Amino acid sequence: MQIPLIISNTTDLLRIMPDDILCVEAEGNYSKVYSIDGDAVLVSFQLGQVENKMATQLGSNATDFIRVGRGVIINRNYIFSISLGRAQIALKAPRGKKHTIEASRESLKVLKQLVDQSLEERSEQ
Amino acid sequence: MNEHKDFYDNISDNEIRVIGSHLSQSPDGAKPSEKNAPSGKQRQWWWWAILAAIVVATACTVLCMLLMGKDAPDEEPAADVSQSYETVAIDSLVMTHEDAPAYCEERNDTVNDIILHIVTPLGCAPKLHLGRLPENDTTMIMAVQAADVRGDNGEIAGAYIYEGELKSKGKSKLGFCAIVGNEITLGRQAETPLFERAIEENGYFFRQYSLVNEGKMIDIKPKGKSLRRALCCYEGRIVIIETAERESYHDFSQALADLGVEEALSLVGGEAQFHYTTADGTNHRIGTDVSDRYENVNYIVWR
Repeated sequence: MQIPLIISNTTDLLRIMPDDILCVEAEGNYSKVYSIDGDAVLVSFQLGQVENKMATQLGSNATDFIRVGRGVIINRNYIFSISLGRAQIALKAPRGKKHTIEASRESLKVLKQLVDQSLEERSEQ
Repeated sequence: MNEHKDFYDNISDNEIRVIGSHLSQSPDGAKPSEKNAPSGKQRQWWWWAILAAIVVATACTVLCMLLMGKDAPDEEPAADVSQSYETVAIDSLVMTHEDAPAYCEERNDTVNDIILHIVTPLGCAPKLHLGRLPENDTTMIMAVQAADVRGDNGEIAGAYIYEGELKSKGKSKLGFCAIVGNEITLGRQAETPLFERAIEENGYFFRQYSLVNEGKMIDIKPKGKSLRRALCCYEGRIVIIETAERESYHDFSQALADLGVEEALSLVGGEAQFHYTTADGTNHRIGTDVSDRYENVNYIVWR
């Protein structure tokens, strides 16, 4: 059973299921949470603080999320493409729009290795 | 808690980290390696190193400024940075739409030998405007340049929200103006919920130097003299106050505070554009149009 992620401050509260999160992008001292429906909600927490909330609230579901560099947390289940050439990663949920994010080539290289590795592990099983 | 905070902030642009597993991987490692939060000794070493670097950098900066007599950089005034953790109350003001025809009232006042030109828009409401001002727009009662545009890249300096869309980020300047719904708010705060409200409610937001906050002058670092202009909350209204002569920020801030201004936000001064229409229908046109050079030139426009 999934547990929702709750991001709450003195004036606002966001409650979202992990599977509904496409990614979270840093916006200076704020973060923007993108849902798979294409909605985006700005929350008044830095990306590291959002990462902390994910790690503490989501239990085993937290490992679905990968922090890529300083700027973004992605839901690995929605990785659509990784382009080292363009230094871009595209995320896409079923029936959702493609969402493209720029990241460093080095971090994408490592991310690609991680995804390739999970493919190998799946093949071995 | 701080230990966690340190860990979650501790990632470079070239690394990735699987959340919840404390697995980090950098490009030099072929396999994901266990990268738990740094040990106490490691963290202590890093803190000492960072502290030493800050002390050395500060000492060098102070020394350079003393020796060379240079001004502090305009973009990040040291005074503002040092006060960024203070909690400051925000004044909210509602602009009322009056039935009478809109116009601007102007008068002069002298404080500390500084002549202040005070222009009060009446019966009209402010919005931000991005790009060149429309010509022959008779509904425009007042227009004044708002946020600074950076000379190096042409981007707007500091956070800027236009009709709910975030056009620029940053908060090196703590002062802000938010126009959300029927309220215009001037204040001085590093983080304000009005930022989010401006996005959610298709509002407007920009940052500038705060010159007066809660009736007290803010002594910002940039020196030098110029024609100064400010967006102010004064006697329960939003007004524009400008100097007739070239003045320093310090003297202008002090004059505004002594005048009794509750909140004041610096606007682009010097040759920046300032248009307003008085009751007799005269269109006053001050300043130079620079929209050809800077596409992000922006204004507050009252209609």
